[in-house]
Amino acid sequence: MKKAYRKPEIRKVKLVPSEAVLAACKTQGVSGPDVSGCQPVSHICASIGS
Amino acid sequence: MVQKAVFDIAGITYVIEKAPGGAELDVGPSHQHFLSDKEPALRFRAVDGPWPSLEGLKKTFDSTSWWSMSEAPGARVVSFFNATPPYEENRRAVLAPDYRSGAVYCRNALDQSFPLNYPLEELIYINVLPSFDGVIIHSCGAGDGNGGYLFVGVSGAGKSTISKVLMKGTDWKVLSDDRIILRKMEGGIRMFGTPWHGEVDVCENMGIPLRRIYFLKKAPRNEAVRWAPALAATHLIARSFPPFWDADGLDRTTRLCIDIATQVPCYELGFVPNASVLDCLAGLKDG
Repeated sequence: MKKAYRKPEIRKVKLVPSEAVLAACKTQGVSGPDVSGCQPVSHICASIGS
Repeated sequence: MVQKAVFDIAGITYVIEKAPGGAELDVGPSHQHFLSDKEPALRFRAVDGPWPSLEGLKKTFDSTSWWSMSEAPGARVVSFFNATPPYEENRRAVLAPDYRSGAVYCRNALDQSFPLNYPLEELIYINVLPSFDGVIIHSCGAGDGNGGYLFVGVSGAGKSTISKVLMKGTDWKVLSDDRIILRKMEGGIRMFGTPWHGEVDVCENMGIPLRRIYFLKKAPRNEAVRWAPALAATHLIARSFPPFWDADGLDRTTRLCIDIATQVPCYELGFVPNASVLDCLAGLKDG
């Protein structure tokens, strides 16, 4: 039995560019940029990109 | 005095050597779990001395944040910058074209004590993993004794939340709350913990067979919906860390994500951020 035709549909999946290219801070007790929005303490960034 | 250290992340080992006369290497708590005595496949060293010039080099990638990459004859040069004015370059890595070796020039003492500080170490793995049939996924990974389960999501999706639920009085072992490496190996797809944790300080250096992938979504009730491989592959690619600046590496990473989504059952997991999700996970059967 033939299947009913279903028109192909495009579904968008959101990519978060800043995360995908490591452009954000991470929390891990290692040095990172002195990013505004972070709370740098001796080069330790607060989490933004995790 | 620590002159050099060897690390094994997802079965790929590297050595980092301190600069002669430079600061002693400081292996932080996350990396302690990944120390190894294996022969390294990748080799890096810290260098004191004049930095190689960027003059005339073609910029090949700009994160528009705190790092960029340029192409030099026989090398890839990665620059790292402070993110506040005057945006001074604080570190420069000169890497081989295959990213398996290189020299790192550091300006500040903290970077000198661990020259492959974030994000350089992760960038190196992003570039070498395609040749090892591997990929980093933005995810929490945990095992229940029968195998590994990947919980995939962007920041805020609930990876750290579900990590905390799994770690609280259960038999689950969380490998990482933020970055998991998947590798296609003999016997199937394996998942590995990494040192690059998020807000939950957990880094397990172990590899286990991957049984299922859950794409996280916070929801008013716990529910898992099976996804077709094509849909799952698309989402897995979007949550991976591919080398966008390298056509071959990007192609390999994409194909690997398709392979993984075809071999491993994938679900969208709507979850309530409390222990009730454990019952949902226990009740799921392979389709």
